[in-house]
Amino acid sequence: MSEAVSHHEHHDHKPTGIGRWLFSTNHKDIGTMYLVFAGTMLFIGGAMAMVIRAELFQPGLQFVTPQFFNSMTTIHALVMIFGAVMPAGVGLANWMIPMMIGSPDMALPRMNNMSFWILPFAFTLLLSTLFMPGGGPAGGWTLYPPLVLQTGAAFPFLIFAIHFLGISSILGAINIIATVFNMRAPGMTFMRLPLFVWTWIITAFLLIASMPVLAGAVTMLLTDKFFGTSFFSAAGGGDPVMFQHVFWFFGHPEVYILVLPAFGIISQVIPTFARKPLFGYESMVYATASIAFLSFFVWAHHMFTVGMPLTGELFFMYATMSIAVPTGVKIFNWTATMWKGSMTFETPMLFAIGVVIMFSIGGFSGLMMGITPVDFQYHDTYFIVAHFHYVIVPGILFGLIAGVYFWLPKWTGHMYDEKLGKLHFWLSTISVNVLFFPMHFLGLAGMPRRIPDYNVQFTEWNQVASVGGFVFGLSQLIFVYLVYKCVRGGEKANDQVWEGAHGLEWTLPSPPPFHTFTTPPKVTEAMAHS
Amino acid sequence: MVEEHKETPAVPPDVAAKNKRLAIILALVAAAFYLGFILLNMK
Repeated sequence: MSEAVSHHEHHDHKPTGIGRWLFSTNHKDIGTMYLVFAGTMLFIGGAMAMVIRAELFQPGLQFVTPQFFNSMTTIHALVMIFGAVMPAGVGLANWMIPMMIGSPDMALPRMNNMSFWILPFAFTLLLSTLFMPGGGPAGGWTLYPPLVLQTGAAFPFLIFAIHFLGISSILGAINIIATVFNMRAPGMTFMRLPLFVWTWIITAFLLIASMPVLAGAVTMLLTDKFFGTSFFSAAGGGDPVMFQHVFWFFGHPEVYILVLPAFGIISQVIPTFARKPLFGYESMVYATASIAFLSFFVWAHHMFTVGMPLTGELFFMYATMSIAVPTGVKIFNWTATMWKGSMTFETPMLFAIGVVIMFSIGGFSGLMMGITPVDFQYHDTYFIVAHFHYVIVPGILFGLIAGVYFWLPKWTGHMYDEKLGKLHFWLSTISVNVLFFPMHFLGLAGMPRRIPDYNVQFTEWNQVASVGGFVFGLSQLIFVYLVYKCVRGGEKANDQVWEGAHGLEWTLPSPPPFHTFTTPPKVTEAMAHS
Repeated sequence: MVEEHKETPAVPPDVAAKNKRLAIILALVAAAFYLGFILLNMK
């Protein structure tokens, strides 16, 4: 046990009541709030997905109007990306980064509080649009003009919600960079940082470079709608396609903002349960940085069909292909870490292996669509829906869930119910494939995305996908119950929790005291990353 | 005597100053990207 902990365990007082949460500047409490918020949004976004899958169970219109269906697809995406996945990543960063680098807290604790509390206001603005005249935004999460400019009273609320979300993300990113750059314990050099911290530094830089671009794009939409400008209006001399360029200049790095923290988690989990150091630590760092760098040069692969010069199409096609190289390095290194390891298959490891396999499925379908002439066939079909859902759900979401299982005993001081965890994994894995794999077939057969009705030939695979969707949604209730049960009690977790766990966070008691590392630990090579 | 409660441990003043300086620089970079992309789209 570190000196810092023993010093504090005698007076580990914490504030009580609602004030503890409203005015919190403690990284662990703010991390918890982020995670609870993300979980709540996951279920709100999930409920919208259930509406979509219920409507698509049969051809024709069953339950909702086309306008409401389009609102569901739009808001489901915004809620899942900005409300569930990003805050979950920030929550894990808040909890773990100070403990991993030997810092007493985040560098800017009051700003940390503000970053979190902006989120509930932003999502109140966004979700309130569903009750407004004209309904919620229904032009898709990509907000393409001129379609999005037809949004009714919801439009300014949508734009301001996105601005708030951007401000929250940028403040969070600044905090993470300042924390890692200035608050590391003596001896914690950059090349000794755990991979999760590395992936978050790179993600934070991506956020600072890309979120202002989205903010700029939506500001221009706002002025086009209300202040007579013509940034994206062809009638006024503007160019609607320019919006797509600006949006995807944000949008592609955003994919890596979502995925890199999940990669960081996997890089912590696999060595622990393979009981081997991570294979190729340095190449993992450089591969992550390469992925982030390249992500700024591939945006137009999202819009091959708008009509670009051939040289542009070739450039973006080859640039897209090149991202497969550093991504392949990561997949290779995870596999090599497992090779000849003393592996055990506790729930975090199961989810981590699930990510390696199923993220690769999403990666391969991404490569297919990166080929320009092929994309002309697949564009705006269910094939793209299958692709990005494979990346985001069994790729990113499973990675985040692996992180929660991995660190839950550390946070709560109790072991979770392993049987329930495994049941959660297997039900989720089977149902997520039943949900998303048939969408490849639907897309290749020509079913377009973002429609509430379809030709009868697509019925069977839609029914299979819907059944998978309902089972997947219900399976997540097991996770909620498991987390609740673990917080309430259970078998006592020791400090190291997992036999193969290495790093500063595992030297702290489980649960860690309210304040940790007020006296910085001295980090040696042996204590550094596993 | 009641010990005063501090929710966040104190950071040495030099580190606090470095944190603040870095935060301002990064915020200015973000603001420059924001304005830059709007200005680039003006004709």
